[in-house]
Amino acid sequence: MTTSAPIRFRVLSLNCWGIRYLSKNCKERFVLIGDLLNQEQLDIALLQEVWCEKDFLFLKKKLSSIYPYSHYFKSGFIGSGLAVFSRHQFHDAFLYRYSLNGYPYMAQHGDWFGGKAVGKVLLNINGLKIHVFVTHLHAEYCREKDSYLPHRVVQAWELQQFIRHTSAAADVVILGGDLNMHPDDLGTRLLRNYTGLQDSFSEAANFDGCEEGHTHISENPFTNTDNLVPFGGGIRIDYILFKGSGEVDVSCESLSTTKGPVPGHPFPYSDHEALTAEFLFTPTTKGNRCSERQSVNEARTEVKVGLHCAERMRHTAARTGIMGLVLLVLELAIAAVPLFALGAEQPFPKASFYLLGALCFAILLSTLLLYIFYSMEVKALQGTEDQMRLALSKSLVTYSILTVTAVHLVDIRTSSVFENEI
Amino acid sequence: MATERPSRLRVFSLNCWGIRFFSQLCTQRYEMIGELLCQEQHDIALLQEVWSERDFLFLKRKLSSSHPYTHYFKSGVIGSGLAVFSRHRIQDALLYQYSLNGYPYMLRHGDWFGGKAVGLVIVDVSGLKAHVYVTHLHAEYSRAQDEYLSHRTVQSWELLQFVRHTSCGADLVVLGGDLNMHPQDLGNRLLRSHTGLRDCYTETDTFDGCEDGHTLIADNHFTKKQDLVPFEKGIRIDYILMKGSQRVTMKCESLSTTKGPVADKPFPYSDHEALTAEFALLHSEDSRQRGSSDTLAVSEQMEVVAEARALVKEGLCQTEALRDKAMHLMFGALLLLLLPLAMAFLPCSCSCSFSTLGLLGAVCMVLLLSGALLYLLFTTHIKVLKETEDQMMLTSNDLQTKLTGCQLSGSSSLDGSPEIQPLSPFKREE
Repeated sequence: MTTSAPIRFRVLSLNCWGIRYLSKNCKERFVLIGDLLNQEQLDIALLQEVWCEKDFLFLKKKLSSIYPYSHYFKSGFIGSGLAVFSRHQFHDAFLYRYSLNGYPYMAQHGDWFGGKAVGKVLLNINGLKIHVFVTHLHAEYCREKDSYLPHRVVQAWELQQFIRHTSAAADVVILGGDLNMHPDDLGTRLLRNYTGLQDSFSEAANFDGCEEGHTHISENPFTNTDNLVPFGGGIRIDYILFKGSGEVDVSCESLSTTKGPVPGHPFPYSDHEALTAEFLFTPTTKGNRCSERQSVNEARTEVKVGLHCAERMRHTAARTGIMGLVLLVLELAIAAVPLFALGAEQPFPKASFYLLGALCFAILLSTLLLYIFYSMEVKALQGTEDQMRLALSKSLVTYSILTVTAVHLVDIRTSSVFENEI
Repeated sequence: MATERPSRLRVFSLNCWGIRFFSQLCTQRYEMIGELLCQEQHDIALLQEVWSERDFLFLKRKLSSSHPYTHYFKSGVIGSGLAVFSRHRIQDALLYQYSLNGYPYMLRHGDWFGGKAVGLVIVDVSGLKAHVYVTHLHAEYSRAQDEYLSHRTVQSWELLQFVRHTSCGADLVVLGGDLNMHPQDLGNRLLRSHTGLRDCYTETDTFDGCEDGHTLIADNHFTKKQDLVPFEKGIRIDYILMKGSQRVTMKCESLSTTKGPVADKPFPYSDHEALTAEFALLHSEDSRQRGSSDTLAVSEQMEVVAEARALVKEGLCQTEALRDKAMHLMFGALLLLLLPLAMAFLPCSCSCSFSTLGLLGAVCMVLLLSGALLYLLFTTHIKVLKETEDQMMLTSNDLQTKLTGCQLSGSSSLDGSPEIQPLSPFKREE
């Protein structure tokens, strides 16, 4: 086996909060972010919430000398907001858009329009196949009563499926992004357990940053501090996860985060803190086995809850639509009466007729659109539940095989002990 | 080279035409399909257009002893219509829904509601890891003027990307389905050249079926003759594609299709013909990648990607024009809305009744809403087309690098994988 020097690899991940006309100091912050990336001597930068292509093109121009390779993942109406800047050439890029991503009528949350997805780029450095994933999951607006929880669980499930299925040949896997989940939340556990990815915060040899590795902190003037009070002033929802393989050992040498206000600058880079991780890729001979533990049961329950909810909403939409149709038919019938009435002429209430007609029509149209939308939601949830059931049955089979093998081995040993005694 | 007896794998693929209340004799045909699958005992059956879950559950019950492992891929509003029945354990499943799939307002075509996708099942076949893909692409309604061509090109691209990226750990790869494309169409060439998948019809030792391997034929009385024009006898749009790996050599020993009417039955199984392929699987000690390509193949890949990219760019222009129209509709409706509002509030001489103004207002609102929804839809489509174009450009650049590398070092073994494999001190030398 030929030996060679280990490779150092620096990754940055930042949710840029680049919502033009809505986020504060957007343009100026992108200038700061550009300067930061130019200074930091990274191998790859994974950015989220770069909603506007103009901002991406601005960064691309600014970073062209140090990071000549870039990819901007486009999906949905204004998204996906995911951008990658790299020192090393990409050999390929692939995008997987999540099946569920909120509701179009929740305009105040707006996630649905973002076309959230997971993007993947392939790098090859000195013969090492490095698969880099960047993603941004649906936001958590209310932790006590998270109406989007089934959507977020489905996103976490699809994320782990995508990573697992597309990184079979990878030597190194890196995932960076805003998962919008706390470290012990169901989705994060599902992701880590099924992919075998490790959290750089827990594995880093050296850490320098916010307390507990928080990436959304009250010291940041852009954040809404009320939301963070129950969490002691900060939450950790942005991550850089990593995994080696049978041939390459990956260790996290250091992890650092920005800490809110940036010295010398009037405001921070974003409402999120930036994460920078430094990895060491070392050749190895030991195989890498990913242990699958079950968070799937819990996830399946959440998905089932979401499914019942979506089916109920679809049923309501259908019922309301039918009522609207009945009302319209009734109205037409009533309007037809004067046509057949012989005798006293009564004034026809045109205004009411048209208004009621318009109302019925509006009800019919909106319930039709909602019915279509909820049907798609139901399908996506059912599909995810089927995949989870498959995963559970696979674990059960593995468990059974292991149990039977163990029992068999015990039998052999017992009988051989017997023979020796005899 | 291994000398043991090869294992065999029989794969079946059929577009079932299971549109309840629309397709003829749906229930009876499913009975026939169930009986056929029960008798034939294929290892894996890949079905498309199983739109109704009830039909899937009927087949599942009927085939519970012969094909105990099943998966039904759900997506879109009524789709995806893809179902897999297997004699071997299905270890995992993943669905990739195509980003573009027609338009919701094209109700008579209806593809948009189908949530077309590609499904992957990982099947354990006698200890070998088989990655089996089933898919159904957007239909071709008018070959002369295909308004969906860019959508179908994007679907082909996403299909090949999905297969490329998820088949790295596979011992063998099988793709079955209704591609709705002729063998030399751009999408098919793109798919085959970039994944290394081989067409069973061209690779098979023995073939028994319709002339030229047609899968949609005039002899089938469910098929409308005008759909086949200008191809009088039939067209080949359903496929079973295959690829081995370093561990396994895959050989197509036979391929057969149904030929329209079924013996002893009053009607065929579907408007499409069914494909059955029989493979021989040999454990290979050969570490060379099968289907190795050289500069010629890389050039071919580059050419076909360039052609596809041009098509996607054209689609992008067309969609941007559509989006502009939607925007004009919105603004027009807004302006028009000002008219009744002005007339209602200004004390002008014209005496329009309230109801007429109301009607005009309602029409404007509907136009505004339609314009907004269409704008949303077309913007989403534009994003997808741009993303596809960017990915194609990346692949093109990568191929250019490979070509340069190839030309410098002479011909070398390159497969359809998305990775460059240069020699490096980091790699273990065997």
